[in-house]
Amino acid sequence: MAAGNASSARPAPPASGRLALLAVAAAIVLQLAAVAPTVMQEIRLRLRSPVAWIIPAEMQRDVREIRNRIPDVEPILYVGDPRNRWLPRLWERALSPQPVVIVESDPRLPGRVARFRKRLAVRWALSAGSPPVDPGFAWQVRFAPIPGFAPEYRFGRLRR
Amino acid sequence: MPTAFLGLAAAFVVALGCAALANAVLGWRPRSLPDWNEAFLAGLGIATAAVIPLSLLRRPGTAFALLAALLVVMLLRRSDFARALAAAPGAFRTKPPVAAALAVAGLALFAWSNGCAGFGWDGFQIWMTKAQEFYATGELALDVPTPGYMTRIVSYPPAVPLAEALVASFWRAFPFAAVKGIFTVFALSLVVGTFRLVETLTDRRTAYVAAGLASLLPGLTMRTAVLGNADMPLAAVGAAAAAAALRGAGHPPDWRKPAPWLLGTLAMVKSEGTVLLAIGAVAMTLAAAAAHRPTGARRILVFAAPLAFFVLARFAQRTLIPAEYLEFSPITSFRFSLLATRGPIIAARMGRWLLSLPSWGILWPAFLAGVVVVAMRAPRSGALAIAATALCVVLADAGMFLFTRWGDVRLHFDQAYPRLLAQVAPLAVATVAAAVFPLVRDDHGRRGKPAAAPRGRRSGASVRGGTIP
Repeated sequence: MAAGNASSARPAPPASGRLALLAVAAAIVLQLAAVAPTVMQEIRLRLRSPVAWIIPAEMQRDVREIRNRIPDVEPILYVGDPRNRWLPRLWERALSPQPVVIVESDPRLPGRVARFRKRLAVRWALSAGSPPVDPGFAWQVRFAPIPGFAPEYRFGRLRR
Repeated sequence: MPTAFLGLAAAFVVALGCAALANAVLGWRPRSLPDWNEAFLAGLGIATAAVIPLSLLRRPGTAFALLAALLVVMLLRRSDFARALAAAPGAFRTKPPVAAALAVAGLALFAWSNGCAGFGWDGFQIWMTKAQEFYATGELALDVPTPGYMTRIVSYPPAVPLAEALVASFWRAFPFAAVKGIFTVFALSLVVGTFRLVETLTDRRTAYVAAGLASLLPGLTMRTAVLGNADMPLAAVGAAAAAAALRGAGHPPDWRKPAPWLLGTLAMVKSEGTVLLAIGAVAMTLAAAAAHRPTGARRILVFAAPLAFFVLARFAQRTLIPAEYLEFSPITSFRFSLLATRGPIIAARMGRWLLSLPSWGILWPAFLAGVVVVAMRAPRSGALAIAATALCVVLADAGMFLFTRWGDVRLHFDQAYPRLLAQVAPLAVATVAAAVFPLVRDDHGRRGKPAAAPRGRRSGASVRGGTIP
């Protein structure tokens, strides 16, 4: 808008002014060239794997399966690999408002399961892993692996 | 994809609702897109401060009630929207400058990427988790059976989750894909805020270029910045606050002006926003003192009232809503031995990130050079106030890691510092623009006319590289 007022009657800029303009233009080009590979990588990534849904459809299907079996106020024990921080919290948000107790599948698991059973009356568990560990299922159903997330899942009722 | 579009539309309605709230509370009458942007951010800040005590009532449906209230306020302030709509055709008739193309491209890239990408860690695990909890329970606390990592997020200020929960309130179940739309609104806010900040210091053409360059910074809006989910909203508020502070520099302090409300909103967006607020407030005070502007104590106190309102809201959140603060030790734990052990590590990592071409291009070296140029050429100028503020934040953010509780300082620094830089990236862009502006300025009648002085400024009260009156 402001740039459209140039007049042919105006004197040409001095050589130092032209040089300064050129230097600023070169700096802008340098800036754009420096970030261009990252921008292109961003575009390629979006074109290759557009993931509009944060909760995968397969996980939503499994959540529906769980909801068909238990009311959404029943707490669920999630047992999984402690190195994977994303997956348990993805399940937690997908299952919300269902309370999800996240525990790690390490040697202290039996003691923790007993504690949560007593303290929070947890009766159901969802175990993730390859293969999933058994936190003490009375019975269980197997959920198929979710693409992009390696583990298999087992869901079931804990022994009394 | 339709959900993403609907989410974007809902996000714009929420933004307009927040703007209407600010207009109603403060009696503003926005006339341009940057005015509306300031109203949106200030309104979001006010709504967030109000939500903190409201959340203690633990009423499910609070988010929906707030959305309904915002819609009512929009209805009451319909004359503002009618005026904006009446003025819109005139704005579209003006031929857009070529320099704006970069900003449009950056914004379009973000909107597309945001629409078809998942969430980054912060976007999902922090903001959306808080948003989902607030949407479902009306609480800002996180009622999870196993405290620990998740309860850490309770301490985060709730402006972004509140905006997401308001967007979600258009749906009966929490719409994971739709709430992302609010980040495109923040990206627009960032571009508009940067434009206004740079325009206040330079001219319109330079401002378009600067806003375009800011929108295309991977360290601010792309995957390297957690898809812009983490710190971009705070950067948007920072840019708007800095622009408002500069515009207000020629006037006596006035609590109804945007500057104190936008400065206060910083504390509602992220924890580090309180640091930005403090540094910004000190910069404004020093700039006024350097300009020898006589200001009565009463006026200063009245001006500081909005800041106190937001600081109090943040204090209330930290005291009334229990949370774990795991990341940093208190500042009182400082020992000189920390400087010896962690100082060199921090300095080395800082250099690495400031020189990261893939994330920032040449921004930070150019910024550091720009600080020197502005300090030499225009002491006591608005440009120097902006440059000094950004430099203080860059250094203060690095200094925080002296107090990290992480065993590996490098790991914590590398995870957090690049994102903290994003918070003041618009100010860094503005500093560079102010430094190079005399080289490309138009006031010799060569390349078009210089931009008009910002509206509302008193005659002779120029902040463009000159003295703050």
